[in-house]
This record gives sequence, C-alpha cells and structure tokens, in this order.
Amino acid sequence: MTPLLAQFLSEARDFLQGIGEKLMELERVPEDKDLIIELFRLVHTLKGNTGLFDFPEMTRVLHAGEDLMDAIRDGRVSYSRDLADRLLDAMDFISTLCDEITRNGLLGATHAADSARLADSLRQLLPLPGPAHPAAEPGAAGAIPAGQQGVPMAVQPWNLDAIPEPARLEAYRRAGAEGVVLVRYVPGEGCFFQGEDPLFQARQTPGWVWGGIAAREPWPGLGELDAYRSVLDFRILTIAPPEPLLDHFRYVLDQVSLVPLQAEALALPQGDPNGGPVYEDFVGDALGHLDAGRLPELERAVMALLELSNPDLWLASALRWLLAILEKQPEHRQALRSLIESLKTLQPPDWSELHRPSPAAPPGIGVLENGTQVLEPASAVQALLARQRAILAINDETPWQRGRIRAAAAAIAGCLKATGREEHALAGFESALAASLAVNRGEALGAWLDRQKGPMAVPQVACTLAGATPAGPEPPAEGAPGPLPTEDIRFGRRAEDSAGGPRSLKVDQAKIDRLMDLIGEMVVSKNALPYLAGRAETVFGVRELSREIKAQYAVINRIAEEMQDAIMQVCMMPVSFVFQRFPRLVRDTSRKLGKDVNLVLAGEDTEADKAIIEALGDPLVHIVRNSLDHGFELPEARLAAGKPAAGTLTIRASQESDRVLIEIQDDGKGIDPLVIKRKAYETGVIDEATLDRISDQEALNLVFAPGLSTAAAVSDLSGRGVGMDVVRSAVEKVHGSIQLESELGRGTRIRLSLPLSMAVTNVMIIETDGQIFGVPMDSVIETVRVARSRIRSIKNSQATVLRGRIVALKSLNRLLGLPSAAKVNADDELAVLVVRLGTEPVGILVDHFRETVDIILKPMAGVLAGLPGYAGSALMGDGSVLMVLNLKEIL
Amino acid sequence: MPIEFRKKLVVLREVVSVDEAEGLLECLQRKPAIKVDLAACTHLHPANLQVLMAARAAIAAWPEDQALRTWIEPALSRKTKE
Repeated sequence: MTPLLAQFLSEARDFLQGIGEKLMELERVPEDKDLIIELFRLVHTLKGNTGLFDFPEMTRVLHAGEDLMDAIRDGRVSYSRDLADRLLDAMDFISTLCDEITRNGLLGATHAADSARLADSLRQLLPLPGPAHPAAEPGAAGAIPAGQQGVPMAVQPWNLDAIPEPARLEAYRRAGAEGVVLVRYVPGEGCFFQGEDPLFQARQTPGWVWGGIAAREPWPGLGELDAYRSVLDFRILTIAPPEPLLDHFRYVLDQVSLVPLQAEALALPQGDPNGGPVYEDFVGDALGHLDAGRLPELERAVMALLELSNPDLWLASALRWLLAILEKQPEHRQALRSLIESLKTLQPPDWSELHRPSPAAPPGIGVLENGTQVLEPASAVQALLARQRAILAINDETPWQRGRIRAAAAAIAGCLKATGREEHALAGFESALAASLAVNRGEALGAWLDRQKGPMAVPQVACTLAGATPAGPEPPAEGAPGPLPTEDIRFGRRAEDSAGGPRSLKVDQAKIDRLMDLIGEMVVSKNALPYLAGRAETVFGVRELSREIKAQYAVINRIAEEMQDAIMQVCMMPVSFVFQRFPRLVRDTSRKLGKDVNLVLAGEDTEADKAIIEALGDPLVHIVRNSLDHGFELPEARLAAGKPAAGTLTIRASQESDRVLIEIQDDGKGIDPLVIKRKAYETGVIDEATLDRISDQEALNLVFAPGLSTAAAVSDLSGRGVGMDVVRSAVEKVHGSIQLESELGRGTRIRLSLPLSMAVTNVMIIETDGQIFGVPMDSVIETVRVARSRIRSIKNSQATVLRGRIVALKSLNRLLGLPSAAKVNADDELAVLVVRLGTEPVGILVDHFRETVDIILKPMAGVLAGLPGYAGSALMGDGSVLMVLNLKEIL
Repeated sequence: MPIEFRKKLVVLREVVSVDEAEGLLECLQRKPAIKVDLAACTHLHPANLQVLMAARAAIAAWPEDQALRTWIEPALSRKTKE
C-alpha cells in the first residue's frame, strides 16, 4: 500500500465520521445552512480524494452524494430523513469499501452494481427537471432516453439496421440463450485527458461481434476542431451476457447503456424492395409448410427462391434470415411465421411484441442509464439460477468441485437476496448447501433449487444447459418482482459496528503536551538519583548503597531517555508538510508574474517538531514570494544577462546536529546593497552616518528591518513593507535564526536555522549573588574572563575591547536589581558572558559560569506570567528551580 | 514511428497514440487532399479517429487488421462518399 493510499484511507475515515456526525446534527436542525455547507464540503473533498485512485465504485457514489448535497445547499431539495438515511447508507458503503481496500489493497469487481444502485438511489432525490441530472427512474426501464452526469446522450436512438446484415447474422448464430446485448458507450468529453482510450475499451468488449462509431455532433471545420475533446459515440453488438459487460465497463458505467435483446430481434431484413411485395405465392406455400411442420420443405423452398433472387433485395435478406432461424431455432414457429408474413408487407417483423408481453425494450431503442436495471430482474435471476443449476449438475470429481459448489451457492444466495426471498428460503438453502458440501456433490443444492417456485423457479428451457428436460416455452415468471427495492441495500454498518479499527490515531495536542510534561518531570526526578547516591555515600557513609543507586539510575536513565525520544518522535513531522504547498504556489505566482521558474525541493523528509514545522510555513511563503517577485527577472532579462530563461528556485532542508537548516536559493538578480542603503535612508531606517559606514553585508541585513520595501509599486504579492521583518520575528519566535547572502546578478540565498525541537532547551547555568540562573544557549556567543583593569567606564556604562571590538558590559546584578557587585576570581578577573542581542554582542558580568544542561522549559504561569524578565522556569535534578532569563527583556 | 508524413500520403502504423492527433490534425489542415494509409495500423487512439472523421480524410488503404477495419470503415468511408 502506498503512503498516499494509506493517508487517503485514514483521512477517508475521518471524513466519513464527520459526514455521519453532521448528518446527525442536521437531523436536529435541518435548516442550518452552515452545517449543510460543511457537509457538502466534506462530501466534495472526499469525492475529490477518491479521484486520485482507481476506485470508480467509490467515486460514483460520492459523486451522486455530492450532487445531492449541492442541490440541498442551493435549496432545490429539502432535507428529509429519507435523504439522511440514503446518504448514511452510501457512507456505510464507502466505509465498507475502505475496509476492503485496507485489507486487500484493492477493490474487488463485485461492488459495481451496489455502487450504481446507491448512486441511483441518491439521484432519485434530485429534482427531476434538472437538465444536467435527470433522475433515473428504475421502473421505467428503456422508456426514457436518459443521459447522466453531463454525458449528453444523443436523443436519437440507434437502430439495429445500422448494423450490417452479415454482422447481425453472425451474432444471431453465435448468440447464447441470453440473446444479444446492444451496448452504447458515450465516453465523457474529457476522457482523453484522463488517459482513457474508449476505442480500445470498446474493442475489448467481451463477446464483441460488431462495433460502430459515430460522432455526437456535426464536425466543425478543421480549424475549430479540438482533437482532444471526445465527441464519439460507440455502438457495440455483443453476444456476451450482461454481467461480464458490466464488469468490463465498470469504470464508465454511467457512460454506457446496455439493451439485452432476444437473438431473433436481430432479424431485420433490409434491402431493395424492388417494386413492392409480390411474393404472395411463396408466402402461402411457406406458411403451409410451416403449419404442417414440414420444415425441410420450407427450407428447400426458401433456398430455391434465394437462388433466384438478387442478393441485394429485401426479399433475399428476409430469406437469409429465415434460413438462419431454421438452422438455429427450428422450433421457433412464431419467429418463422412473423418473418414469412413480413414478406407480404416488406415491413420488418416487430419482434418486441412477439416476445415481451410488456414491451420492455423495443429493438432499436438503445437507451438506459444503468445496466443493473436494464435486465428485468425476474428473467435475470432466472438466467442466473439456470446457470447455477447447470454448474451444480457437473460432477466430475475435480479438486475444485467444492469451490464450485460454494461459488454456485454464493450466486444463489445473491439471487435470493435480490428477490427478497431471503427469509423464507434461507433455512432450506443452508441445509441443502451443507448437504452438498458434505458429499462434495452438487445434487442436494440442485434439487433444492428445483423445488423453488415463483421467480426463483428455474426455467425449464434454460435447463437444457444442464442436459435436462428440453423444449417448451419459458414459463411466465410468477409474481415477478419489480425493480429491486432500494431499501434493501444496507451495508450493515451501523453504530454497533466496530470491525477493523484504523491503524493511525489522531491525538489531541494537549494529550501529547501532557505526556511531554510528564516525561519532563520524570527526567527531573531521575536526575535526583545521583544526588541521592552522593548523599548515601557522604552523609550516611554507605558506599554499597550508593553504588546500587547509581546502577539503578543508569537503567532508569536509559529508559527515560528512550521514552523522551519516543515522545519527541510523536511530535516530529517531515518538512514536506510545508514544502508541499510550494509547487503550486511557485507555479501560480510565476505564471501571474510572467516569469519562468523551476522549483527544486530537496530534503523533504527532514523531520522537526510539529510546532517548528508549523511556525515555518508562513515565513517560507513570504520568502518564496519575495524571491519570485523581486528575485527573478523576466525571461528576456535573464536571456540578456546570459542566464537560462527559466530561473531555478531551490528549497533545501537538512539536519545539522540539533538544528534544521532550510535554505532558499534563487538564481535571480540578487540584492543591490546600494539600493537597500538608499532605500533605508529614504525611509528613515538608518541615518546618514550609518549610510556611509555600514558594510554591504550589513546593508543586506537591512531588508529585515521593519518598514523597508524595495519594490517600487505595491502589488498584491509584495511591496507593503511588512515582508522580511515579519519573517525574521516569526523565525526568532521559535528560537531560529535567519541569514541572507546575495550576490548582485547571481542570486540570493536565505538560510534559516531552527531547533529540531522546542521541547528541550539547552541552557547555560550562571551564578550571580549566590543564585543560579539559566541563559538560553542559542544566544550565548562565548564566555570569557576579563581582567578588571581592562574594563573601561564610559560615563555610567562599562565596556571592554574583545578581539578588536568594543563590547558593552552590563552587570547582571544591576539588571536584576541585586545590590552586590560582580565577584572577581583570584586573578582579579570578571566572568563575562558574551551574548548576542540582535546583531550586537553584549557582555554580561556574572559571578561564575556553571555547566550547560538540557531542560524542559515551562513558561511562567499565573501571577508570575507578568514577569517579562524570565523566559520560564525549569526543575533541576536536585529539586531546585532554575529561572531562565529572557535576555532581550532585561537588557 | 507510428506516423509518417509523406508528400501526398500520411502513413499510420501499428498503435497510433493520443499524442499523434495534434500532428495529424495539423497535417490535414495544411493539405486537405492528402490521403491516409492505414494498412499497417493495428489500433489508433480515438483522438486520431476524430481528426480523420472531421477531416473526411481520403483513405488510401484500410487497415489489414480486420477488427479495426470493421470498426472504423463505416465511420470513415461514409464521409468520403458524401
């Protein structure tokens, strides 16, 4: 299973859950517009998602659901309980399909009919006059030309006589007991873009005898022709039974109509009437032969006349058909009679009246929206049962006999269900099946089948298949059930259902945070053990115990660290989460700007804490937009500068120890430091003295200054002067840093460096006035000892020279309002912690440096939240509390 | 090459894919009198077929593949007669 599919399934479950909930809510407040819109959105998204995969059954049902929701949203249909039921059923069906995909990785072909039925049951609720979706009326089989889903079915039915006679003759000779099927296949206009080849599909039709192609509309001039808009209409004559046809066209069921016909319906003589009917003598003789049952004489007479006739004549054609019927169905007197009598009028016999007491599908009218309802259920069931009966009669002791019985039983069970006779018949069926399986022979089940009456009765004619009693017309189906009642389609997945739980879990962020807190406390209390060991040795003098405590500590330490790691992993996400939006963004933006930009993404699987990844999104979008807007030149300018017309934007993520590096590089025109300087001066970001003094790199960094924009005009993309400073502050908020390098004419590179995780903070512990404080390591540049003699006082403030730079010094005691002065060590040196404040280094005078530790920083809460000088607090291993300074605030 | 443009003849061979339709259309637009040889063609994507049908292209040779010929001959020949 691909990750995409796995994600789809997990999301689909969420969607289904959501749809279910919304439907329930809607039952309480049916008029809630927001709910309806939300519901529509869910169904719509889910449908869109299924389109990524090869699950036509799913998409079809969801599409119908979407149309219905759309109608509700527009107020064309009002919400009803029946509607909710059908939608819920449809969702249960989707859920069943999801389970099957989860189990097998794919969908079996068995759901097509259910899917079509559900889709229809949803569409039935749609308002009828809607031109785009005439609701399918299951009862009106073959009566109304129906187009579905924007497939404009041409109004004109196609006629059998469009099929050349030889093809019809061939189909007639080869046709089985089920007769023939006319297929009309009208692919959607956009089907070529979906990689479909309808002609190939049509050519592969099982049992294909003849096929024709027509255009749905007159051809435009070649100049206006869109070769990729499919306007073809395929007509196929096949001798395959409907089931394999439905399977063959299962992806395009809504574009196909099937019309099953009796084989003899193909017998439509055609040709030159040659002056009208003049064959009275022959008709009289032939009927005489027929009535007397003298078929050989009839055949001879037909042959004789055929030899005398011009083969192009209508007469010859009718005679050829007579011969064919004589050959194939000599017992079919009625057909022979009709055909002979037609010679009197030269009108083709009306086969539909002959065979169907209720004119179901007159030959030549090829219309039906959906194969499942084309078949009269009674006759379809009978045909199916006859097949099963024949299968059960086979007893050749093969190893797969058992499987064959089971298969037949499954088919029979399906028929029972379809005819609604499940309850009455089930008991006998089960025992017959058991008996059959016990002896591994089909008779028991076959016998049971023979005992059934009504629509379940096996028609005798069909039994010839099994070599049983021949002849006799089909018994009329007693109490033939109407179209399958849609209410019967339930997928048995209601509230009580719990099978196949999802494998991925969505967890509330708060729960993860709590885990994080707990493991933090665990780490802290674990760190108390070494102290305890120390005390055991020094205070109580028990070295043994101390050693044992240390051994235990090692174990607990390992587990705790692994646990911490595992919990951190839970919160890790790949950067692809933010990267995935860039291809679209770059494409759309560059197109809008008329630029040509290739996007290269690298290192998408680099992982970082969810909070970091999420915080990264907006700054990255800003940077990419900036780069597209200001960085890249127009193609002509690029060519003039000797660069390829298409620019390259590279976004690369990588991990470097405990930081994530993100690099956004373009090969555009770069940033001109002079322009920045001037702009910064004009907008008052820097003064005149700074203008002369600052280096090019410093000038580049001015782009991060608030209020600076180099774009001449404000566009909807950039130029509002709120770009890069927002980026920088967003990055700094998650303790990240940002660097910008640019070379004029060659491009710009922006590097973001972000911590892998915000959960654990690395701090340096310092001591001043007998107290300890933490300082975040990411702001510490260095720790130095400076001799007191080298510290200069300038008015009230102190400074020293470090590596050729003047560094201002601040006493932490004074900053914190502590009265004592900083301590000096034996060599009369002061401890200076050099930290980065913005871009300037600042020295902080402290008493002592201590170690650096990883702590879990807790923000100040409650009354303490008002103290801006502290970034937060952390518990130390010995139980003491470490206050972590917020240097930006106190300096 | 499934498609070969000669001076007065377009020869389609084997399986003519959807990508060829554009070129075929262009060719037929440029030379409306050009003939089409389908003899060696075993399958053509319907996009190509649409082009041939719309252009009422004259068919110089029908496919040797009988099944394909059955499919396309009525659609293509009727147009040429008109």
